[in-house]
Amino acid sequence: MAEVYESKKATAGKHEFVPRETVDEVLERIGEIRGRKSLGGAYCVAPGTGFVNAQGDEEAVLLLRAHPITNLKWIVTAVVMLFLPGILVDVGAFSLVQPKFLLVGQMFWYLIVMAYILESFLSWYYSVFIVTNERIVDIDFYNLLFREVSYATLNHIEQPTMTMGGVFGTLFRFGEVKVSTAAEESTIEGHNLPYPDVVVRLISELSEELEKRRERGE
Amino acid sequence: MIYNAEVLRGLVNISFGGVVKWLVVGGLLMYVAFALVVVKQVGVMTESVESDVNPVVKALSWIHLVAALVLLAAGIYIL
Repeated sequence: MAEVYESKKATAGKHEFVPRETVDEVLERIGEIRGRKSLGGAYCVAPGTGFVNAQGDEEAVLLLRAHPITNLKWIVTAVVMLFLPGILVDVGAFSLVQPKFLLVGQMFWYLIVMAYILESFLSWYYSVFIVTNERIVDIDFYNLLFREVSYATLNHIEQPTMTMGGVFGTLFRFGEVKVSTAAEESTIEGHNLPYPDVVVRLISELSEELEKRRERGE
Repeated sequence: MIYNAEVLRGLVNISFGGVVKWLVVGGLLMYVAFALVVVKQVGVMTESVESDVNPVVKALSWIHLVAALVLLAAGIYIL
């Protein structure tokens, strides 16, 4: 009697995905450990995190953010903005302004700085590049009002590429990851991602596993 | 009659400081509207990705809104 192979999860509906055991094998092959987090949350391996429009059997294998060093610019700007009112008052720039206007003006300035820090952090923290066992999800928040979410299933992508260069990119090992698909929106790009070589290798391995499963009819 | 005269005197005697005050208050009112948008958008962002940081970020956005409202009140009563 032919052995019935239960493969409901792998072929249910139109979602082809890599099962957990195979994901674990792939992670082991590329030298990663499930649950590993580094770079202040910019590089997370199988964090168990939910995300928008996640499918039933979908799990995030890699959750990536821009390398934390890319935040240096806004952090320095925020520090300068924090000290600026005090410096200007000390040099007498506002000597002709009434004290009550000066007080309200300073409070308003610090509120703006708070909003700047919050917006900068949010744009970094919630702009994520997720490699799941089914697809690639790229969520970009360009500012508070503009969000772009792109998806590409692993069985539709072509060979992913990565670029890593520049002083900071080489020193801190971050760069761009580009994944091309045959769809109209042909490229998904992750910017300033840590360890882009590992990311590309993982995407390739998962894609190959999915292809093997399809060939085996699983 | 006396009340109308007082109102007219009040309108004629608008000082430069008074104009600046209401311009500042108008700006603060717009900033409160911006703070409301921030609260809304933080909600959208926290729905995109689950994280332990989400409650903290939401709290900060509300603190920012409350601070904007307090500043608006300060602008009306202090200036």
